[in-house]
Amino acid sequence: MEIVVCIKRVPATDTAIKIAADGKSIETQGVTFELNAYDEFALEQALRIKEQLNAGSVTVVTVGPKEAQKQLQDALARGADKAVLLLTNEWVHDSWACSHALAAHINKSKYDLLLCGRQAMDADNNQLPSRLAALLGFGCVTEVSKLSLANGVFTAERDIEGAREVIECKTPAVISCNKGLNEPRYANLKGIMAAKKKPYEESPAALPTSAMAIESLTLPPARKAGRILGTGAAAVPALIAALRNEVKVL
Amino acid sequence: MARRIDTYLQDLVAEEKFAFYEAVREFSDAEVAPHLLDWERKHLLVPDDCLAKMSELGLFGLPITTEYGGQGGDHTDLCLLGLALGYHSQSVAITPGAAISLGAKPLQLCGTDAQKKAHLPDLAAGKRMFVFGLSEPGRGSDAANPEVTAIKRGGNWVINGEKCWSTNARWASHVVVHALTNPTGPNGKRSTCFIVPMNAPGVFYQEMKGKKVWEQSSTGSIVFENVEVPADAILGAENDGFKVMVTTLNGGRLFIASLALASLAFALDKTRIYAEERVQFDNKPIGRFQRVQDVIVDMDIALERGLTWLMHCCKRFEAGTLSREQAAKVKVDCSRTASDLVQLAMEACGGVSCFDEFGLIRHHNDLFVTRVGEGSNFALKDLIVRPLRQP
Ligand SMILES: Cc1cc2nc3c(=O)[nH]c(=O)nc-3n(C[C@H](O)[C@H](O)[C@H](O)COP(=O)(O)OP(=O)(O)OC[C@H]3O[C@@H](n4cnc5c(N)ncnc54)[C@H](O)[C@@H]3O)c2cc1C
Repeated sequence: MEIVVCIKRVPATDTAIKIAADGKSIETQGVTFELNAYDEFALEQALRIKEQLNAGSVTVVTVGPKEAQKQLQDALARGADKAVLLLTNEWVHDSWACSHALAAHINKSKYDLLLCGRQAMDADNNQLPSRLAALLGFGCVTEVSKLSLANGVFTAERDIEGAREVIECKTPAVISCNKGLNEPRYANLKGIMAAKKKPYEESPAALPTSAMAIESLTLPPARKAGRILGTGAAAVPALIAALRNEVKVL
Repeated sequence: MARRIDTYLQDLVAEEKFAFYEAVREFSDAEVAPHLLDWERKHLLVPDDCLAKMSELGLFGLPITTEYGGQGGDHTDLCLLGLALGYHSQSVAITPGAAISLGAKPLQLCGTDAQKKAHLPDLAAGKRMFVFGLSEPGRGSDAANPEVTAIKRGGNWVINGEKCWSTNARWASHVVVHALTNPTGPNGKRSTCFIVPMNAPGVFYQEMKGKKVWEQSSTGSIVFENVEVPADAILGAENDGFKVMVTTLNGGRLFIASLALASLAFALDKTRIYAEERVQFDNKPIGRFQRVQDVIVDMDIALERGLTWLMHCCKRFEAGTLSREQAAKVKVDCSRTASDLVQLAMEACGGVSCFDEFGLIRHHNDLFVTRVGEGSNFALKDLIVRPLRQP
């Protein structure tokens, strides 16, 4: 099975985000970047499928800046066979444009399966996998937290409101991966050394003009200090009054 | 949070070595750090599933060549492992660290081809572990003339006596025993090393209880009662056992230095960040006090200096040009500087340093081992002074 894993380089989750001077992007000075956590599940799943079938290949693709080479190398070190960097210096936050750039590349070869993280933790759009499936004419299952493969058919499980949905799907397909799907492996030294010799490709990303523009970015307002209204059952009426009249949530 | 140590290492080592350091650091952040308090409060040794994950990551086979199923790393990689794991816990770091630098290393350096074939693949896979049996209840710094004896009987050797302080004894498959074989020979030529299976009849292991440092690391006492081993259990040459031990310790001392620097790196980050968060007098951070800054600055200087020196020594070790004095000096300096500074760091942070969850007390306690283990600093100065007394 020929598998593509779409990955993204995003600010580390413990970053204290600051808004840049333009008011439309984040300050990247001093920020460490890492592989989007959901993409780690996608990569791990791809490697497991290849190991299960003992055949096929895993290609990792990203649309991103030159620095994303590091995340691609990391994916190669964990066991991917080939890496592709579709270069852009823009911050890719528009899933529509990004899916076009990815589809343009993916269409050049024949792939059976595309694995993505459920969403990139920077823009948090949660759109790319479905858009990509639509552009490629592939089937699509999103936010999968359990996946198995038998006789060429995938059985995917996803959590929906109050229940779990089980879906069977054939290739070609796009599957987006959720937390809990697997436990991603770490790169070992042998893998890191081997990664240097694996095929690596770089070309400009075929990004169409973005369909949307960010007008402004603001940080959420600082949380106000809490207030203790009293203790025990005696405080309940005051609490209800405050929730009803001040916070207006009741 | 960006760690100071990362900025220095990125500059000092090749890209793929830094990538390896980062992979172990991620492992340590995700699989060790969140559980440490629990392990400590329950007085557990490194749990089996953590050991299994470390062997899955190939850590136990780090410097073993790929031909034997290892990772093909070198001594720089080993010290990077020490830095990455030791940042959270020296106890966890010493477990693969000793298994490699004291366990597999003598076999790699002095083993026959047959011995290597018999053991290295399983050592690399984490299925076997060797421990280093040099120290004894009556022979610590004065280790050249062991009280453990080995006497020839027919074609075999019979071993009697007791080893102690054996790191990793709990998980060991074999112990490399340094035993007296030629009591009347010249000093340094009286002993021989033997590879002894831990399950051989007459071998008894007991964990040394009550140790308040390196709490998750196994430290065992191993007794030998008429333990018979064949002649091919000899590691290195007969009556040349002390050389095997001493050569091994050169590399081991670099690893101990990496643990000391790992603790220093943790303390530096902890202190510099806490000093900006904690406010006293006029609601301003204690990081504005110059006496607090002095401690932080001194830690930063010591860290960059120590790392630079250690990475240099690793290269020399690989090239076979590291002298015993150099290995001893970097171990002595990194361990004493880090432990002195971490104590000051605790004072700079104040009462909060008493708590296990703040982390500094763990590193403070563990740093003691780096001063005494693999040669007490006091005794090592005897070695360091030798060339200085030559005209
Ligand atoms: C946690 C831990 C793990 C260890 N793991 C291992 C292991 O895996 N394998 C192993 O073989 N050993 C191991 N050791 C033992 C370690 O190598 C010894 O503790 C060390 O060599 C010192 O020996 P000693 O503790 O018996 O001290 P002693 O030799 O009794 O010395 C006590 C003190 O006397 C002074 N002193 C001694 N000699 C001199 C001298 N020449 N000049 C000046 N002062 C001197 C020093 O202050 C020294 O600290 C471990 C030790 C610890 C604490």
